[in-house]
Amino acid sequence: MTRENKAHSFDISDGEKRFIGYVSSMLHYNSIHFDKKIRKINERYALVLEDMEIRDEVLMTETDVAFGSIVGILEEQISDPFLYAAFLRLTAREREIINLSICKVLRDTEIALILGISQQSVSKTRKKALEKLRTAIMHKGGQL
Amino acid sequence: MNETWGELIRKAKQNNPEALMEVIYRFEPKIKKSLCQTNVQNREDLKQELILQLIEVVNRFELESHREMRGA
Repeated sequence: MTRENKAHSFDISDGEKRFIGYVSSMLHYNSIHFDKKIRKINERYALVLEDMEIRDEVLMTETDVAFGSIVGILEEQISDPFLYAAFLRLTAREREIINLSICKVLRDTEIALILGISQQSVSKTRKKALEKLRTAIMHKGGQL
Repeated sequence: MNETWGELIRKAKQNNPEALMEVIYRFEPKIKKSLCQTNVQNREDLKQELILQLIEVVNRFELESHREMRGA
């Protein structure tokens, strides 16, 4: 295809030259414009996510400060009655692990060392407890 | 296949699909190169868009322009 184009290039008129030049730059600039458009859309979409992240971060720092003053009692920190009820419904071990992992920001291995159990069982219990709380929040309308 | 650009454009403007296809084929290397501008997921979209623009340009383009007339 390109070789053919070269063969033609010796005897083309001004109008043809203009056409080829025009189309070439049209393709070039349109592709740039297209990419810009896509990026703009992506940016807008990302802004929403970023916003949520910032809000989460603010919440996180607020809770961190709150937990800093009252060390390690999640029972006294929950204001949502549904969540509180669900939290009290957890087993003692689950509550203990949740308190250690969220309030004291310990890693699962560290919790395992404190409680003298394996890291796997800490992970499992923590996940299960969080799942319970999550479903409690999701269905809170039906429980009272 | 060996028609000049002028003939091709004239034919394409008269709604000759083969001529239009030939124009698109001849510009294919350039289109392919332009596709590198965007990422892989959007290349098909861009290709469609560029070919559409190309067809529009072919329909809009005047071979004998006023600029050429002024020069002559």
